[in-house]
Amino acid sequence: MTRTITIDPVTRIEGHARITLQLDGRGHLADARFQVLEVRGFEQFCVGRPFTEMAGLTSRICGICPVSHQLAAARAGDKLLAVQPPEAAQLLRRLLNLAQILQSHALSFFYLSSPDWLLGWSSDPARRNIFGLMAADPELARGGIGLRQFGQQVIERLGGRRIHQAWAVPGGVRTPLAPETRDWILAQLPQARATMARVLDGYKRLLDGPLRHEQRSFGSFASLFMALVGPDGCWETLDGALRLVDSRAQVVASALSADDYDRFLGEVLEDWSVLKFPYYRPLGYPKGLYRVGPLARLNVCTAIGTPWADAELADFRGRGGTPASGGRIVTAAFAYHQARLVEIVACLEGIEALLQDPRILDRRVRAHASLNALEAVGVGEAPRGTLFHHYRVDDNGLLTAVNLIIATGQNNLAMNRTVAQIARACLPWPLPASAAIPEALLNRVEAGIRCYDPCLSCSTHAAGAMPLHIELRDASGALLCETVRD
Amino acid sequence: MTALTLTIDGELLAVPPGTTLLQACRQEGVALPTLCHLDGLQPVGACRLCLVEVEGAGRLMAACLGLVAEGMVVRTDTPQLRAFRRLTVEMLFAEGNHVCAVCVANGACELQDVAVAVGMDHVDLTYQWPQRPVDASHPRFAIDHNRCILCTRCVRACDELERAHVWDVAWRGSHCRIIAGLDQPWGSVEACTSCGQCVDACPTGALFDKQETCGERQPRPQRARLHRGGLP
Amino acid sequence: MAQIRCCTASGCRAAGGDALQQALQQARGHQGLSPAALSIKAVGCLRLCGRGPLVALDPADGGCQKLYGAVPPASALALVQLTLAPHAPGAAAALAAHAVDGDHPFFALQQPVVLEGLGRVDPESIDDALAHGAYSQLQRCRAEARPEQVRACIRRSGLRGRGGAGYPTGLKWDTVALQPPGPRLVVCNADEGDPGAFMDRAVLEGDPHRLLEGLAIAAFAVGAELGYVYLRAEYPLAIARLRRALRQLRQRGLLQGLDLQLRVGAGAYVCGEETALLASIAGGRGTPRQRPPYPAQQGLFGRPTLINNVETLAAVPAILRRGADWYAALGTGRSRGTKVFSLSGALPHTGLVEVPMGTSLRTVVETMGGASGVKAVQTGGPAGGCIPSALLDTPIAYETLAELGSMLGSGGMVVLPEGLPMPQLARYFMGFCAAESCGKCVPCRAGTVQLAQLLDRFCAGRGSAGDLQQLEQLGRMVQATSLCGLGQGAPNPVFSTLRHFRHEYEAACGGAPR
Repeated sequence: MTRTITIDPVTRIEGHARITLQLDGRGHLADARFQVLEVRGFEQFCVGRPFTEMAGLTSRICGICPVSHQLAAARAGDKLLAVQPPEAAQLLRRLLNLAQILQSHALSFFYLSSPDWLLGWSSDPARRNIFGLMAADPELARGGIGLRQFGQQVIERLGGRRIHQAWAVPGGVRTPLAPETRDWILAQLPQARATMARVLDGYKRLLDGPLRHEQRSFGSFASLFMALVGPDGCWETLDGALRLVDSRAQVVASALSADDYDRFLGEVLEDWSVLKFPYYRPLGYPKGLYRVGPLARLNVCTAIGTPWADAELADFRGRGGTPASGGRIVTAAFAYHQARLVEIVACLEGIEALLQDPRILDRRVRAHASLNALEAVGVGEAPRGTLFHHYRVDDNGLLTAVNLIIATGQNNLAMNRTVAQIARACLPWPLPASAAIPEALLNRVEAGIRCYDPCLSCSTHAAGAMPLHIELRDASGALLCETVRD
Repeated sequence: MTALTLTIDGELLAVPPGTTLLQACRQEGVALPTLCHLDGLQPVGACRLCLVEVEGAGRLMAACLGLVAEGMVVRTDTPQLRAFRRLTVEMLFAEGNHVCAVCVANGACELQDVAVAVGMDHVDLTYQWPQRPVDASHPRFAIDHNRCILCTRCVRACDELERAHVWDVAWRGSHCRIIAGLDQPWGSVEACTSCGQCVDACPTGALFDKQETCGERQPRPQRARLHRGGLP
Repeated sequence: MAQIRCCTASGCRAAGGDALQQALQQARGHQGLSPAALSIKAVGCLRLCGRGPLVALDPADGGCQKLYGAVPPASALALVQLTLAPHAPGAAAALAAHAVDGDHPFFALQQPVVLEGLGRVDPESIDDALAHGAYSQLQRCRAEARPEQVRACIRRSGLRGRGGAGYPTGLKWDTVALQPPGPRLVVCNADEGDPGAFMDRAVLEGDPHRLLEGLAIAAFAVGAELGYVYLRAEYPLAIARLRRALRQLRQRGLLQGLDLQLRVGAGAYVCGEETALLASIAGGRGTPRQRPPYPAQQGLFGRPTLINNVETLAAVPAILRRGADWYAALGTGRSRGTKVFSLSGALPHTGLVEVPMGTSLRTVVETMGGASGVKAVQTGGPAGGCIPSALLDTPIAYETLAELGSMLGSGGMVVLPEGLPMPQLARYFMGFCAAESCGKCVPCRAGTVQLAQLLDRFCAGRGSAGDLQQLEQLGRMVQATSLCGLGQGAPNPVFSTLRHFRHEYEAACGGAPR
C-alpha cells in the first residue's frame, strides 16, 4: 500500500511549508517533497507602480531580508536611471549588506537552528527554541542575540529603522554616513568579535563530537554552486560577477552578468508547490540543480580576503571538503551552519575595513537622473543566496513586468533532494504500516530543510509556535495515520 | 473697524469682521482638523472635518467657510463632532488605497496626521480596494490616484496661484478622479508649467516628485519653502 | 369645429403617439376632410400616461369630450368618424375597449392650475398659447403693476417652492429684490431628476409658454434683465419645445429687454441642487457649495439670483389672473394652492394629477389612482421616504409628510405593492445617491457607498445587529455632515423604512455575523 507522510507546517523557517514523504507499496520512500503553499503575489501587485517605489515596496516583502530586496531594487533602479552611484554610496550599500547578512545569519544559527543540537533532537518541541536555549545556555543565547542586535543596529543607524527601511534608492543612498555613527559601529566590533570567537570554538567542538554524523549525512550530494565573486575571485556580496563551480571544484561558468540571467538560468513551476524551481539552463531540468547561499559562496570564492575569515574558511574546508574536490568543496548541507559562522566573521572584518576607508564619509551619496533605460536586472547576495530583481518599465517608469528570483527558490531542488536523503538515512525502512514516527526522526527531516534557512517571502515568524502536522496517506489520498504536534 | 465677539468652547474672543470660524479657532489655539483647507486657497468645505456646532444654527457649519457673526456660540469638540470626524477619516481610508508603508508621504502626510489627531486607530468600514492608476507621464512629477482624497487643493493651487488650471475633477461619486487637461496624460498637457505647486499643495502622497521614494517627502511647510526658493 | 387632440408628450410618444397622429391625418384625408373641417391638434399631457397614446375627441356639436387611451393606429379611422358623428354606432363600438372614463375620480378630482393648459394648448404654437391667454398676465404686470405689487400678490397667495424645500416664494422674491442695487438674475430650475418624478417634464413639453411667462413675471418682480432655464439633457423633447418657444417669444418681441436663455445640463442629478445648478450654468463643474451665502444674496456670477422650479413659476400666471386670495383659498395650513404629482408604481392609473394641498394620500393613491393592496407610498424621491398604508389618510402638505419622516418633495409618488422588501427599496435609492453624488464632500461620496453595501447585506438576509447599528450611526453622520441636500437626504429612505418597517431589517439579521 502506498502512503504519504506529511510534515505540515515545517517549523522554524520563515513562512509556511510542508514536507511530504511519498511511500511506495512496500513502505519504502518513493519521493520527498518540500511544498511551499503561499502564493508570492507581489510580482503581480508591483506591476503599475513606479520603479522608484520598489526599494521600499520590496523591502516590505519580509522582515528577515528587507535589506537584500532593497539593495537589489536600488541596483536595478541604478540601471534604469543609467547612473553609477557615487563611491560613498557604493561603500555604504556594501556596509548595509554586510550588516544584513550578519544579523540574518545570527538569527538562523542561534534562534532557529541551534536549539536542535544544543537541546537535543528529541527534546520537547515546546521548549526547542530560543527560549529553551536561553534557559539551557544563557551565555550563548545572549551572545547570539547580541550579534543579531548589532547587525540590526548598524542597519537602523544607517537607514533610520531596523526593518522595512528604504534607505538605498535608485542612484545611491538617501543620507551620508555621520562620523559619530561610524565611531559607534567601530566601538561595538570588539565585543562582537569576542562573541564569535567563543561561538566558533564551541561549535567546532560539537562538530568534532555529537554532530559528526549530521555533518556527513545531511544533504551531502554533488551539485553546482553559484555565487557572486569579486574580480579576483574573492568572496563578494554585492558587486562582481556570477560564477558557478561544481563539486569537483571545476569552474563551470564565470564572469556571468546578472543582466543575462535568463540565458543561463531557467525556471520551472511544478503543480505541487508555488515556489519556482530555477535550474542551470545548460544542464537542463532537473539536472541543473545548483545551490546558493553561505555554502555556495564559500565553495565558489577563492578566498575571503580578510585574515580571520580566511583562517575559518580553511578550517571549514578542512573539515568538510570532499576528497573528489581535493578538499576544496564542501557538499553537505549541514555545513551551511558553519558557513554562516564563517560569513559572520567575514562581515565583522568587512564592516571594520569599510569604516576605516575615509571615502565612506563623503557627503555625495546620490546620483539624480531621469529614466534612461526600460529594463534592468538588480542583483546582490542576500543572506540565503543570490537575489535577482528583474524589472521592465514603460516610458514613464511604471513597472510593466517584475520577476524576482529569490535564494530559497534556487535552493528548492536541493532542499527536496536533502529531504529525501535525510528521510532515507534516518527513518526505519521499510516503514511499518501504522507505526508512529519518532519525534527525533521527523525533526531531523525538518532540520534538513532548515540548513538552507529557507525564507518563503513572507514575514511570518514562527519560532516554534506553529503546529507540526504529519500525515500518512495511501495512494488514493485517504488518511491512514496522523500526528499533530502543537 | 469694529470687532465681533464670539464664544468658542466657552472662551470669549474678539475678531475683526470677515474672520472665518477656522481663523477664529486657530487664533484661540483650538486645533480643528482640516484636509481640504490650505491657507491662500479659496475654501471649499469639502472634507467636512472642520465642522463645528453653532448654537441656533440648524446644521453643522464648516468652519473654513463660516464667517463669524456677533455673539456666535461655537462648540468644536463635542462627542458628536468627535465621532463624525473619526468616521470621516475612516471613510477616506476605506475608499482609497492608502498604504502608508510604501508611500512617499509616510511621516509627512496630513491624512496620517489627521487620523492620529482624531484617534482613528482602526477602520470599521468596508475597504473598497478600488483599482486606480498612476500617471507618471510628467517628466518631474507623478500622480498616484490610489492616494488621492479629492481635497482639490491641487486643482485650486493650479487655478488660483499658477492660473494654469491644469487640474480638475471628473466623473461622479466614488468614480471621481482628478484629471489633467481634459483627461489627458499629465505629461501631454501643455498648459502645465511644471511649477510643482500642486505637489506642494497635496496633503497626501498622491502628487509627488518622481525623485522621491518611500517616506521621503518633507512635511508641507518645508516642502513649500524648497519650491519657493527658501522664501517663507 | 371638430377637433382631435393628440398627446405628444414623451410618455405617449413612447407608446406610439407619433404613429397614431400620422394615421389620424391619413384617416382625415381618406374622409376627404380638410384640416379646417377637422383639426388634429398636437397637445401636451392628457394625464393618464399609463394608457398612452391618449387622444381626446372634441365633437363638432360641442358635445362633451371623449378620451381614448392605448389607441393603435388602426383605430384612427374610427376616431375620426366618432369625432365627426358622435353617435356613429360602429365607431363607438370599435373604440369601446379604448375608452377612458373621463368622469373617473382620476380626472374628476383634479384641480388644474399649473396644468390648466396641458392637453389644450399646442406646445409648439405661440399663437395657440396666446389664444389661451399666455403672456396676458406678464403684459398686465408691465402695464399696470409695480414689481412690489406682484411680489405682494405672490406672497399673499401662500405659494411655496414646489421643488421640494417649500421655501415661501414671495419671501424669496422679496429677498432678491431687496438686495443692494445692481444686476440680478432669475433662473428656472428645470433639472427634474427624482426617480418617479415627471411633472415638470409635462409642463415643459406641454405648455412651455406658461413657464416662460412665469419666469418673465418673476424677472419683472425682482428687477432682473437676464434669466436662464436650466434643463436636463435627458429631456430632448422639452429642450426642443422650450427652444422653439423662446425663439417665438423673441420674434414676437414679448421679452421687452429681458434676455432669457436656455442652458442644458449634462446629466448630473446633483445639478438640481441650486448652488450646483448655478455652478453648471456658469460653466463650471456642477458641484454644490455651502450656503450661506444663499443664491438670493450671491448667486449666478456672484449676483443676487432668484431660483424657482418649473411648477412654482408655472403657477404664477394663474395666481395673478385669478388672484392671490383664490389661490390661498385652496389648500390647508401653511401649504396653499395645488400640487402636481406624478403617480407611478403598483396602481392602475399612472400619470399626472394636480390636487389641492390637503387632499389625503389615500384619495390620490386609492380613489384617483385606483390602487389596492398598497404597502406604502414613496414620496420625495431619493431624499424622501415611505408612508405606510395605515397612514394614507394623512392630508398632503409640506409639514404633515415631513412629520411622517418623508417629504413632499418635487411630486414623485411611487406606490409600493405588498411584498416589496423595504431594505431593497432603501438600497435602490442609496445606490442612486451613491451614483449621483458629485463626489465633492467625503460623507456623501464615501458614506453612501458604505451605506449601500450595508443595505446589500440586509437585502441578502445576511445583516446583523451590528450592521443595523452601523447603518443608523453612519446614516446620522451622512445626514448631519454632508455638504448639500443630496447627501443630507440620502439616508432618509433608510430612516423612513426603519421607522415604519424596522421588523423587516431585523428579520434580515438572521445571517452569520460578518
